[in-house]
Amino acid sequence: MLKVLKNSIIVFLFLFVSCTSSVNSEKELLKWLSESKNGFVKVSAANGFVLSIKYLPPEYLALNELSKDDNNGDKTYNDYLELFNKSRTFLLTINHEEESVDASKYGVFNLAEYSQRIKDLSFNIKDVIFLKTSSGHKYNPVLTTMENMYEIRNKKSIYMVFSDDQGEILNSEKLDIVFQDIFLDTGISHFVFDKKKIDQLPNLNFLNK
Amino acid sequence: MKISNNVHYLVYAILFFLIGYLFLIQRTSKKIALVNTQTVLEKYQGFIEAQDLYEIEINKMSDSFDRQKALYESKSNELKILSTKLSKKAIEIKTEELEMLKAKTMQLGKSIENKAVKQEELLLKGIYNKVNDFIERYAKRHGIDMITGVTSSGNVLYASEAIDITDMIIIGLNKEYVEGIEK
Repeated sequence: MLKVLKNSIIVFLFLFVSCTSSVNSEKELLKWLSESKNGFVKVSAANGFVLSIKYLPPEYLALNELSKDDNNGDKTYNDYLELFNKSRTFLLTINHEEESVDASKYGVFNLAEYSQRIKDLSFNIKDVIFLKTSSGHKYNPVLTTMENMYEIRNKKSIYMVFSDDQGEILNSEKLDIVFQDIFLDTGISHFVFDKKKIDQLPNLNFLNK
Repeated sequence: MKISNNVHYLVYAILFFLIGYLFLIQRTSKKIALVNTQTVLEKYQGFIEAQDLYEIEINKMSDSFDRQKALYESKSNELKILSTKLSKKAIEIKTEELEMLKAKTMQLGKSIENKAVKQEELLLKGIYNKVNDFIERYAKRHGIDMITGVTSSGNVLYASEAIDITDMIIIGLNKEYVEGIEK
């Protein structure tokens, strides 16, 4: 009887260890976040454009802040973690299957229109993107910013931060990010994230080293 | 014994030939499928949502036009009532003001009409692009060489149900609309 119980515990422990994943470096964490089965990335496509939204967990953002050159060491990982725990940050990436097509130049015919498009993608995009919670409330991003790639690649990356005073965004079971595209003819796209999945990061073993 | 062996060889040869022939047919025959585009649009969540969005926008614009129209009508009635009491000069001024208001109202109506057409074009373009993109991926995934779109006024007079993939396209499109593309 005792032997059976012992074997059951071993099997349980083995299963527990196999289910709780862990990563050993920032590089591994990045790879883990990009794997679609983990639920941190959602993809939509139309008109040759591939729109992808990745949830950036507070842990990743905190690590990112720590590694920046302007970090003079007065803030710790936990300080940043506390800060980023109050909001949800997503990264929208737009690229086209053809190298020559770029979101900043699509449907643009002169310099004034190009300048407007850059403004639209950097700032005005927050008017056409919103986050819908499980209760149906809609929230526009409190901050959007486009990563400057200096037109090296045909990829555009836009960071979006969602936050509310009531904490509904943090506690909603489903987070449906809706992009009502008026720039690239890709229509309405939904990117639905599951709270259970995006709040389940693997153990970050490298933090304790 | 020898005859039996010969029969075996013959059977093997026939089988080999048949498999080769079937393989050749499989490789050379083209797969064609058919989609009822009207049904796809009617049942596509993206189209339904875009339609709702369009209606909300149109209603908003109509409200502002209705307010402007009501203002013009009220001013027009006011002038009719007061015309007997006002001087000729005052009537002229009021009439001029009213004409300006009428022109402004008509201009607003025209601008709303143009905006509505543009909005509809934008929404439909996005939807068509999404549907076309999905159909292309679906065809590639299922090894289909050609997918024909059928409309009520189209040229396809008969097609077997076996090649009608409308339901599959609707299911796939709606699944992708909510869950995104599976990588």
